[in-house]
Amino acid sequence: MATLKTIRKRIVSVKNTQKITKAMKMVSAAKLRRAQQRLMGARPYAQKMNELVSHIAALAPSSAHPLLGRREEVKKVEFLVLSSDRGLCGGFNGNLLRKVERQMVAGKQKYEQIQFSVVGKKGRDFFVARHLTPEQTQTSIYDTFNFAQALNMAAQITEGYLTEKFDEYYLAYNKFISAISQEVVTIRILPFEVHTTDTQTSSENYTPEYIYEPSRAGILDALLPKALATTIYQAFLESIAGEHGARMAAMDAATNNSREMIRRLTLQSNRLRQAAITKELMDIVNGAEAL
Amino acid sequence: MAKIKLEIVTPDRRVLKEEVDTVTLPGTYGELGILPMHTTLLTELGNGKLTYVTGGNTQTLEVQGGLAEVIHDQVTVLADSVT
Repeated sequence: MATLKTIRKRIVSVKNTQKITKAMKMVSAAKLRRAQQRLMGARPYAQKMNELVSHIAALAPSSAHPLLGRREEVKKVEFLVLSSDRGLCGGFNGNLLRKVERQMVAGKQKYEQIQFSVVGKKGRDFFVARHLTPEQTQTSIYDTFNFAQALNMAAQITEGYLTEKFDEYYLAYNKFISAISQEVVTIRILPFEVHTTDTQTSSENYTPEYIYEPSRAGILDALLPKALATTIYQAFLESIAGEHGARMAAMDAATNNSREMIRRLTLQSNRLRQAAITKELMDIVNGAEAL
Repeated sequence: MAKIKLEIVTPDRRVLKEEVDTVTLPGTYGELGILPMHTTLLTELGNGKLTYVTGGNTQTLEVQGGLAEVIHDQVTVLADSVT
């Protein structure tokens, strides 16, 4: 049976925890707002880039550039997993990593070799615990992530693709839906998806062949790495915003839970106090009667 | 006279979205003047000045690398950075 003193101690401790979760929630909310602004700012560029790539890809034969068109035999695939560095953000990492693990297990039958790289400490720890070794691990890069870094990563991935380290490259991350919801998505970023939909040839959307300056090959060489970097950059921003959103939601839930816990404990402590008073009173009354 | 829809975006933000009369782009091989009814064009950009004219006013932006697409009187500049 809990004594009054231990219950009161617990109330104090829960209150302290609540203070922390509340503060973390506020910090996350502020960070989320900033991340969201960045994400919104990057959207027009990403959208234009996608339009451009799909225009060109629709016109150019897939043999126009090695990054276009799928390889006939897909033997090796690589995943890049964007997990977070910090925890306390609900199912943010768990959902992502479990899905990736499932996909890798499922892919074992389809492909000869599956490798992966990981960004974020949580992802690293997850795979270390499963005795899986990533090709590459990067941690603590979110805070300073910019487009130049995305370009670097794109160049590395392109290099790996051209030297046939892998035949397809996938990116797995949390897509930012709203402040309180994220969706785990896996997208193929290499080779580029060539859309050959017939709807695009309708008269209104008809795209005449471009004049390329300096040349089509030159343009593709300049455009495709940038397009790849844009996709990566966008995914990073989505993941960052998603992480803060997830943490905010988790901390909000934790704050509410501790409020409920405090309420229950206070009730319990009041009952105990009342019981103690009643008992004492009875003792006094009994004692008085005995006289 | 017909207008050109000019849109300039960088990886971080949309810099400009405006209707203009003419645009001059800093191509890798020299400046490119774009007037309405220009043919569809896709070009790489070098470092240099991008100028556009709206109602007699000339505006200049400094562009560092990127790509530009001209299609149906719509000029889209995907610049690496703009100052």
